[in-house]
Amino acid sequence: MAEDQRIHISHESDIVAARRASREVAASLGFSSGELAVIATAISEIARNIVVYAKRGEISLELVEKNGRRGIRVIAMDNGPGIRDVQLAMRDGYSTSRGLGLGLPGAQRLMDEFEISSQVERGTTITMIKWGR
Amino acid sequence: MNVHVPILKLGEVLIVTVQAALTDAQLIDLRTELADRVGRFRSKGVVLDVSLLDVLDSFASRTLSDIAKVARLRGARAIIVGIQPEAAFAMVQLGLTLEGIDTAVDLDEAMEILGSSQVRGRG
Amino acid sequence: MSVTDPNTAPQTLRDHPGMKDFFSTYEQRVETLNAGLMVTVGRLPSLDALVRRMTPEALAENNRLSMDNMRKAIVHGDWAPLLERQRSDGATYAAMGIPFREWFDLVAAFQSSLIPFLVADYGGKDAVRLGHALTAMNAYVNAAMNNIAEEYLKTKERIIAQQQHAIHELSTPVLKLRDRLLLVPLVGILDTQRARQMTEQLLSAIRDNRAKVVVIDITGVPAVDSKVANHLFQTAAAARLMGAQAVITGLSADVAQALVALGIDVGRLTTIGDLQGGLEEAQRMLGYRVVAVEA
Repeated sequence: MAEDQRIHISHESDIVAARRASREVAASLGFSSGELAVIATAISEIARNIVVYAKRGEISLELVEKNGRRGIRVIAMDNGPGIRDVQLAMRDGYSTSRGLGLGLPGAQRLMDEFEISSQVERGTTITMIKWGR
Repeated sequence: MNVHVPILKLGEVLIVTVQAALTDAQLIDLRTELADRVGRFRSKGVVLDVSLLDVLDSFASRTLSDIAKVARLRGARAIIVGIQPEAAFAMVQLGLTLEGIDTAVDLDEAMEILGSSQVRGRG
Repeated sequence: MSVTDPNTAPQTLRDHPGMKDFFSTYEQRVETLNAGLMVTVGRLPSLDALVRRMTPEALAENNRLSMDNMRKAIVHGDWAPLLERQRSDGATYAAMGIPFREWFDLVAAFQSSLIPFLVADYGGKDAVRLGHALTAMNAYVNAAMNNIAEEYLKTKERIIAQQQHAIHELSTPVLKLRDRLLLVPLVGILDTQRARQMTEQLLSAIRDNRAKVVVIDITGVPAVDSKVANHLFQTAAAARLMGAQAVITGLSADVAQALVALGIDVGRLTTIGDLQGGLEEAQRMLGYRVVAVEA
């Protein structure tokens, strides 16, 4: 039975650790290997943001349940500089491939539920959920 | 310069097998090292084998593109091989299509392409 | 996220005035009751088969454990082991395909066999006390059934979802036509779930077969709208990442026009009107020459 996990993010090697942890936690949810890669990719984007912009933060992975469906909930928290214009950051998914932007719209596309709250100089919290079968 | 990623020279082709969890610094080193060797050996082709990577996020995708472009600037044709089904699946959902970069299913295929193609003016 | 803690029994159960009396009677008569229940089980085919597979020792241990859990809950207030066990049983019965009806019948038999004993123990003394014991029995049984049923249903739903997935997989086969050429004949509605499944299957097949060209035939897809077009774009893009060229066939001129009118750039995909033409083109792409042979 997978346990919830908490990964401290401060170095880029933690990005890989977070991806690996997501596979462990999501393993019991019946995801296809493609879906597991999707979750790991979304986490990779978010974790990298923490390393690059906030320098340190934390990602928690939990199993959740709603209306008989189980899923994995990812909460990424940091006390970094925050995002001045969240709306702008969430616009235009293709900014990731050109190296602009924070990869947030991409992560949103990958996951089923996505919430972000951010305050300048206070930090950012992102909550995302992917539902299984 | 100490590059942790092995670069194999097979005739006029340089082959790089990208290991999982390369650091940013190592990837930049790789780009520099490849650019140098392509020039030095006047390589016709560069094959980037990513079959060991389970996930290709926007950073990895950008870096691979950069490496391919740098190789091309030095006169070599770059081909990315071995993107795994799961990685490809996630990449397109993220909008990463590696537009303009050649791909092949594996090393054999890439070598076939490089062997039969006219390299001058091709990318 | 569920609000109630699954390891705590509801207040009405914990504080029920007749609960300890109900348990006390049950505990004292358990041998007799179990013997009677075994007769009932004999009439319930699936449960009977399950019980026959257990050794007498295993069965005794099972009963002992159940009694233990009940005692922990009712006498000592620790309901967690009991509730956990009920959920586990629910999941097990669902997985083993035991009809819920049988479990229901068994529990009903339990209740009707316990009632005479409750009446015997408390009937003469105090009508109120008997009333409490009877309602306690009902409350306990209802809660147990609820708990088991919930887990039973969840497990059944999970199994059905898995089976649907398997059916989808079978219904979107990826066929190897010749060396390095794959064909995906899509039939039926292509919704998001099916599209993703088809894509994953196709991508695995590209790797396993080292495919260079994949023909996706959508002649059998009834409603081609912008969503379907997007699925096809994504599939083609993913195939390209793996070095394979996707050719979409079966896209009629009408549908193509409709998509263009919606602002969808169908030109981004390689499309050929009919499957026949598509296959010929695919083989040409692979370097084969298609020649008609004199009959």
